[in-house]
Amino acid sequence: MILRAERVTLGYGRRPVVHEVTLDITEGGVGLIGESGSGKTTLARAFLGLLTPMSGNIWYGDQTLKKADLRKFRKDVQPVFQAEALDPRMRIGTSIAEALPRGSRPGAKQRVAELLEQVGLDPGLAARRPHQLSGGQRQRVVIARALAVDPRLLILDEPTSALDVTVQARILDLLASLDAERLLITHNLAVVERLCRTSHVLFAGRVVESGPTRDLLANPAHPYTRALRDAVPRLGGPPPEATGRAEAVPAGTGCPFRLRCPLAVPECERAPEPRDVESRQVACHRAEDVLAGASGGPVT
Amino acid sequence: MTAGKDGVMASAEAVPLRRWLPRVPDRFAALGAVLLVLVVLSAILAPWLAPYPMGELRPLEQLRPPSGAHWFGTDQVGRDVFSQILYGGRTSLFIAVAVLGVSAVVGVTLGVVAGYAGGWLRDVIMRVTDVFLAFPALLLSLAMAVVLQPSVNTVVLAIAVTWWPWYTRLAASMAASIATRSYVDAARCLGVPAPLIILRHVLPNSLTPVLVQLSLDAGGVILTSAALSYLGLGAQEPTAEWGLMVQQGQTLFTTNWWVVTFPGLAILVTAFAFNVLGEGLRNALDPRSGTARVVK
Repeated sequence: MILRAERVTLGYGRRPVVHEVTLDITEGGVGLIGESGSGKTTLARAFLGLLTPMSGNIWYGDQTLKKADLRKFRKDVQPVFQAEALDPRMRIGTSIAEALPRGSRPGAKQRVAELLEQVGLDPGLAARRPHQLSGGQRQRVVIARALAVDPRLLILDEPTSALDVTVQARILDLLASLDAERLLITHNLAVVERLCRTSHVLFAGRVVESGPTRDLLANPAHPYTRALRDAVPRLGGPPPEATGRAEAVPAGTGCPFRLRCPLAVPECERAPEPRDVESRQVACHRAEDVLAGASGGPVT
Repeated sequence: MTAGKDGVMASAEAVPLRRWLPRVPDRFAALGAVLLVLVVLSAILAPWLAPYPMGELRPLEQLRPPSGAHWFGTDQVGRDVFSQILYGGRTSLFIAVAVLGVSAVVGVTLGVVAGYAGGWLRDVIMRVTDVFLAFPALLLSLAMAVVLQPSVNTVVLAIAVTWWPWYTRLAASMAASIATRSYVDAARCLGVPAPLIILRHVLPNSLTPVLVQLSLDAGGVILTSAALSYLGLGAQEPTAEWGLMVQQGQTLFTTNWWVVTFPGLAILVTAFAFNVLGEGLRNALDPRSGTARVVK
């Protein structure tokens, strides 16, 4: 385990957007799945040390981030943001060289060329600026910059969402071939299935289901996970349907998903505690019914 | 147009030629640059270009219309208007450059720090800025002139004191926006110190609107210095200054138009040159506005 969030509450100003989340970043890749606004990126920023928790702790090894050796942490944990994460005024080579340790600056040009080759790019692109590259090339540059410090963990924030599917596939191949561990933030279930052994599903800033990615996607135990999976359009299949009201309920007033949940019962007005159900942890009073395939209305 | 192998559209044939040509963003900007170079050169070379010495009085040649001997005529005390305009350019351009230089350095430095740092530091800087903006500019300048001796330096100080807060506001809003970009986050995650992040990423990406504003303000500064000179707080006789010349000749406009018109035109042409050059700068400084080239 490289990083661990322990009962972490995160927010902007005084407004919390992630509520008491506990999760470990373990080997084999960890996915954070959820719709826009669910708190995935906020959690990722906390793992990167860019956001201080309102309560709870981020653990780096056996120390909290507040007390950890930040120089070592920055070397171990690096972000891979979307392809737009390059300074538009900087040449590609300069952007990558910024990541190199100070002692290695004399050989920076050679190292930049090696990194560009490692991600499948022509070293000659070092002289270009970001707007002169395609989206896929820019994404590779972002990955090359993260690899410059040889990190143990890459925090990938929607690394393929702005790319077309063929470019996506090549970037996924590249990411899968890297030695570093991965925390992947995405709403794309196919991507998480490819890169992550374990996944956590976030809804309204709470983890509603955690477990092996394959089990989660093949047979969800939370109605929200099932809704996410069923919302993926399939070739030749029926168009996905949006069901229920879009808003979540306020914190501390029961299950956050109950206004959208087709299986909601009066008991859902009491917040469900995460519990073990088969191979995963689920925060749902009706997890067994979801696993059994219940599609709507209270069980009689 | 051809498509590169990664889809970048580019004018492949134009690349070799463009490489050897100076990068002129557009015709208006080029015109502005040429005009500005002419104004600056004529100000610098005034002692050699001017047909008469600065401030030379010729009581027998008062209010002569433009002629071969006096291209722009003479004023009410017989000074050659063309020579006065050449010398006046030195004063007016000095005031514009000094005011904008001081305002930009102070304003942008404070603004970028405020925008990037946020929190209490931003609150302190922006509240101080608000205090300066709350004073009527002319009143503040008048108050300063009461304390200081009327001179060109007083004009520079008085205008700069009321001008820098606008650059602070502009730079702060730009810097606050840039500070949230993911390339800044990426630099933070690499452990790049905050001053270096500001210098490498925030400042260069915040400068475009500031440069445009500087060029747009240059004309305004020249006009404001003219107003202060009129109130007796700025350039004093025998210093030649365009604003002062306009103010002194304003009562003669209907009878001896040249006394006011030529210094006015000098202000107009200089302000126009700064404006179009600023617009061209904006285009040239935006890396996405240039022609994309084929990626080999």
